[in-house]
Amino acid sequence: MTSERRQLIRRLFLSTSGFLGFSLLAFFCIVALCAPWLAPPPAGRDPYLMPVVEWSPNPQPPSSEYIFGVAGKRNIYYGVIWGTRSAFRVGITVTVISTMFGLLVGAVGGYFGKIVDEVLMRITDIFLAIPFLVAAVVMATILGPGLDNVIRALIFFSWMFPARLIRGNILQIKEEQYITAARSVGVNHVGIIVRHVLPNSIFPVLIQASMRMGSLVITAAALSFLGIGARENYADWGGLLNYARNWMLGGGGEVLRYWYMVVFPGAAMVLFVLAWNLVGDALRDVFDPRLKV
Amino acid sequence: MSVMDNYILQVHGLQVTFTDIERNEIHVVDGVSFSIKQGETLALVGESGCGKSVTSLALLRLLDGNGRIRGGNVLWQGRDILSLPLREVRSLRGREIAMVFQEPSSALNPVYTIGDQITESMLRHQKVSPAQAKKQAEEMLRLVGIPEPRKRLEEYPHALSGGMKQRAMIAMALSCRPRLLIADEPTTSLDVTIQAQILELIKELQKRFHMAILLITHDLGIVANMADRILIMYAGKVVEEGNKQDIFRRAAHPYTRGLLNSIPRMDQAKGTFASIPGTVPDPAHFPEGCRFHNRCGEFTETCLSEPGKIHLENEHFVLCHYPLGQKTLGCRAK
Repeated sequence: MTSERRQLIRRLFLSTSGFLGFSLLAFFCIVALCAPWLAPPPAGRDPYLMPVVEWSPNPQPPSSEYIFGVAGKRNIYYGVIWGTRSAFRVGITVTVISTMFGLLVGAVGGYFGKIVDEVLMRITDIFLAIPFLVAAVVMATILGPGLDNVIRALIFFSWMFPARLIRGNILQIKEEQYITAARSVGVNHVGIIVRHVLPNSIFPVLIQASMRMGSLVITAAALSFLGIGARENYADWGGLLNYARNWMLGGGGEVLRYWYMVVFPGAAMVLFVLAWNLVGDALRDVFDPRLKV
Repeated sequence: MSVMDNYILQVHGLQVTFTDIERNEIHVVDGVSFSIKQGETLALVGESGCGKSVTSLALLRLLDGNGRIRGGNVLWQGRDILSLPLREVRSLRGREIAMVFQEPSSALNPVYTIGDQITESMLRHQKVSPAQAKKQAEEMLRLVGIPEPRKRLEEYPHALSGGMKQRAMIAMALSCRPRLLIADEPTTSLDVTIQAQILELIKELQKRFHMAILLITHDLGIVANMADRILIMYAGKVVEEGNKQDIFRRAAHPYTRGLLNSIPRMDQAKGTFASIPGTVPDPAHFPEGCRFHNRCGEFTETCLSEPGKIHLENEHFVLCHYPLGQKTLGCRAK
């Protein structure tokens, strides 16, 4: 058994997508953990507030002092480094909480069926009918700026996906004879769901969660870009892009004159999303029985 | 039925219905009554779809989905399981009444080791530490004849063969020393040689633990080998009840006789096998009166009315207007 498990882990890390994904993820983790050393914050200040480094509001191209350049009087490098933490915070918090809530709704609906299922799934339908980004924009506007409110808004409109997925899986698993067998030895409903149904149906949800992690970070960045996400000057990739809003079309006849304002935070975002998608892919390759040769 | 204390389980007039897609109620089990004595084996025999398995699930209220118990009672040592709070039913399940299922490969959860699954009901019902439970589980595996039990405890179901899995299922069911074991076609999915071993094992453990068995099967060979008393079910009703001799030597219901005649025999002349014409009726459209009348050779107008239960001798009952004579039968017990 242990050898089988070892093989599983090997397949997970040594596939191309798995290796790339986990390496990228590890890189981001290290950056997030080492932020205080990579970009030391000024003493006695909130490190998540990007300090002012220049007095001119004009962007400045990368230089030896500010290797990613300067935008909105702030060091882009500093924002990218500390923004990694914000990205993890948004991604992980939203994914974990929305997945757990979705699991609860989907599991209860799928397992108990009948009227309980009907009610829960119709509520899910209502939430699914609202366009995700619009809903998030409205919700974030109502709650006001701040990363915590972004997180709340995203949780509020993303629990339906795991709920749907887990419900379908549970409908399938609960017909299995080992569920009846477990009931026949006196296991109660909670025990059946937690110990017998979920372990057999949770992998697709975990895979979906890791894939969703990336897209949530994009959505959070979109909100920040629109100015309804993180507070102004908060270290956040979307917030950095917000500085670029007025400069994106270039200037002085050069379209790409201020490329660094978009490229560095944008690259961070793209790689972050890519990392999670690759990890999700690798997980699916390993755990999805339909893809097993 | 003189000494009531002898019976550990008594079922009276059990009614189970299913709801179909048009919300019609379908009576799958219709007024089934029987009782089981301490330590005996009662066989519940019938074709597929006659309500055997549903009956067995209903006893422990394990029916799910749209199966509903509509009437009757199930007395377990004087207490009606059907009206007990669910919590108390749960404490009976596995501890006093345990089940073994037909398909060992789907009745074991693929994500847990054999040891985890055997200890689950012990940890739930007995005051034992996980280490003690594991020790007992190992003992149980040894008892059901699994070699290297310690190693097997750590293995997952897919690593065991069908016969081994069924042995593990039996170990699981017996881990809390139940007083009644419900075995729902315990050997149907196994090879004939393994079947014999498993049946022997069940018999041996029955003696050892002094438990009663409700054996559900359609295989009369197994019945002849295992049962003390036999219940023949047809279309949701018990049509004949009696001890082994009564059923195999003096079967009174035409259906029972049809079943017995359709067993191929070595001394039979060449030719086609005997069989009962027609098929089991759809539970949504059971025939009026005697439910067997459209397949029965003894059919008359009278059969369109509901037959009553006739007491033939000791414990031999039949549900038929024209029970067959007691002497003419040529069929014999194995």
